[in-house]
Amino acid sequence: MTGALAGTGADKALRPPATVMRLARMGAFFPTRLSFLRTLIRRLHDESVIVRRPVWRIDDRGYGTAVYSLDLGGQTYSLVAVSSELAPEARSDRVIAEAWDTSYALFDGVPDEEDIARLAATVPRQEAARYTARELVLSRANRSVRLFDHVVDALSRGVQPDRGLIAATGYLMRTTAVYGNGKFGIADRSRIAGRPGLGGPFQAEMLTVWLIRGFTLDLVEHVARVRGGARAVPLAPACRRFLGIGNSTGLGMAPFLVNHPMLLNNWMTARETALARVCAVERPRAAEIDGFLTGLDRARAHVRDWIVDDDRQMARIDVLGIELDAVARWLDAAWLARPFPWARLMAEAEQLSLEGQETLVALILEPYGHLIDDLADTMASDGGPRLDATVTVGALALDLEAAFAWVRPIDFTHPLECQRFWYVSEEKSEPRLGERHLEAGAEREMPLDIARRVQALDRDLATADPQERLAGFLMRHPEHRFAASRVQTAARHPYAEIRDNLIGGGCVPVDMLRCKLSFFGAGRFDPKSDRWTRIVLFQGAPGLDEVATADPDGWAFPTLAAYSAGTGGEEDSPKQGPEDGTCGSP
Amino acid sequence: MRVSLNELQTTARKAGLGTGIPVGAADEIGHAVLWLAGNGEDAVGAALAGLHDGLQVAPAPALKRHGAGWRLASVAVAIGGPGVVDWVFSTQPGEPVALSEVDAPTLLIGLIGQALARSDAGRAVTVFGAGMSVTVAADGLSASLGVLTPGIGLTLRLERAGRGGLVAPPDGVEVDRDAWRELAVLAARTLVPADAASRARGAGAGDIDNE
Repeated sequence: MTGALAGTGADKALRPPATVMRLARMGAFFPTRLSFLRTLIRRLHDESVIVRRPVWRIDDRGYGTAVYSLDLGGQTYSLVAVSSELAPEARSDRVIAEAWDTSYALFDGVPDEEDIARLAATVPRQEAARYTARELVLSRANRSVRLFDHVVDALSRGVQPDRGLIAATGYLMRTTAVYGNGKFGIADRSRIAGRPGLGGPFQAEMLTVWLIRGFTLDLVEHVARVRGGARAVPLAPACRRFLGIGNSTGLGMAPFLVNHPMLLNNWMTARETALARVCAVERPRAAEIDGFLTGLDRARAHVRDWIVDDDRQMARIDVLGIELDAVARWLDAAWLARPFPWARLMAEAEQLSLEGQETLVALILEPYGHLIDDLADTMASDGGPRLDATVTVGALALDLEAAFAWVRPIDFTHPLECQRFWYVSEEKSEPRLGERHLEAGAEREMPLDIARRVQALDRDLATADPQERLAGFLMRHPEHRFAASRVQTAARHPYAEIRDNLIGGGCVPVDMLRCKLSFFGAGRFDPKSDRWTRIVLFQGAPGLDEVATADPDGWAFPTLAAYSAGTGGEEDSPKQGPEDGTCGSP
Repeated sequence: MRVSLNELQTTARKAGLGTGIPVGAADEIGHAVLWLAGNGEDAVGAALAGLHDGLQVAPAPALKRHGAGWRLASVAVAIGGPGVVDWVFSTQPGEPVALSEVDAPTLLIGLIGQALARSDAGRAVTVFGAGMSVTVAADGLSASLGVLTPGIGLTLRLERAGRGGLVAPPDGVEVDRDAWRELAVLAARTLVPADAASRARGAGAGDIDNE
């Protein structure tokens, strides 16, 4: 890395899909300020939202029901939380689990006693029960047994929990599913899509998870108070901030990116447009330069704390740490004060690993909320138009050439290129990935083999009359309707398609998970296999009792240094918190 | 029983896949069912009428010129319906497309309705035959359909302009429990039987999480 001037291009061109829409890069994405949970926190802050806790019926063992309510965009929403006893041998993060430590519903309005009783009975059953349109989101979470028990023990003895354990885990509980949009009878997205504050992608889900985070913090303090009595202390504020909500993410999330091409396109377009806008800045203000350099230091510290078991990911993290340290050695305010610094920096970044490049993307966006936060309003989608079959075969062939030429070299007769198949198991409809040449079931595979289907369409288009109406071609080839629709969509929406063979042996499914999770705002990516990962949401974010007054931004790349409470001594432990229905001072 | 719109659409789509029809047609059936439900029609019944065993995926016979319009002998709507809709959209307004035998007429009308709603071109299609006549627009029907007998002949005619916009979707729909179960059985054909190996390997996670 030389630090030499690398060009002063000020064009607003977005990075091309051929660069961005590759799984290896998508699997290196970091959350940005356009991530969904960041958008939510800003909204909660802007509306000075106060969270109430009208119901707290948690017994001395930590089991029972609680309700949290807030007003957002002129509507009231409530989290109904149910904490249940769970045997250790029943604790599983898999879809096939049948019981959980805690379960939740986001309720449209304030639940009355009848609603609370109904939900207390049904929510712990999750997929096995049916719900009404008053339930907007359904979720469940399991304890991080090691950390939860440790925190209870420490607080009950009047001391703060161990910094190392807090840093290593980062959450008291992890969600294992967050269902929205009509699943199991809950409200369809159309019920809330037009509401201020919930219209953006996954805002209701993010709100639910944020409230769950607050519940887990209250729960651990409650159990500690019961155990320790007057000696017990609450979590130090910095510790509360550092604890997020974990999540176990499996294959169910991967098909989403493929099944919602318009949504994917809009997310990617917003991200790349934000990047282009910032790169077009000729002379940044001093505060923006300072903000970036501070963020770079935080990212370096964050990466130093980022330890995972997965060898592939740990190797990438090691390289990333080296790269960021190297950048920090030559990059300074003087370099950034020269014209078009962000464009020059992105040009320099091409020498870095994909993780390095995408870290810098996240960092340079961070100081520019005033330039890019409006793009959050462009990230939703109603699904896009139907296939237009009034065009000619020739027109579709041109679209295919423009958007899918990359599929042509793939040899699907080679076993490696069709090694896998995506399917849904009879076992509680758990999404799984199978080995085509070893396992049964490929005849029921999910249609995620986009490249193979488009290639087959390409072959038949090549022998058809280019002047023929597409409608006639599809009457002769009904099997190509899906691929034809994908081609038309991709030709008009350049970021709609992942440009990789998703059934090939080289596909790493966890790259798809990380991409989607980055848009959610998830951090601490911790893959457990090539198709399962843990992450943390809302780590460092303002909590329920402070979102109205705390800085809604400035907590990206949270670090251990932000947890400053230490491990003991009364001077480190705040006084006991309130026992009334509020969540602390507004 | 009440089901959400998303459940209705995804189950109908999966039922189509489970019956063996191509995914492109299954997608359209999911949208058609949604559109019919939003217009107060028996959406599940319409889907079941079209998704019967014995459907064969094969190239549809070509539409033949017939007077000022077109004619097709018979249509298995679940497979050929989307193609018929495409063809109607490709005609000149007023040009009739006559179908001698339609196995699932309500489903066909649903396919037309969803295609109009998703095409955003301000068109309408008049459907008439067997003593009925109804105009289908993006946001609804000019009259309730009633029970349409399987196998009737219908003529479709593209109109120059139709009502625009979409009706506000309901908060889920009431469906007949037995019919829903029947649709769900078809949808379950998309699931792969599990065994110990797939349970252990397929999702990439362990069974117990007590860390």
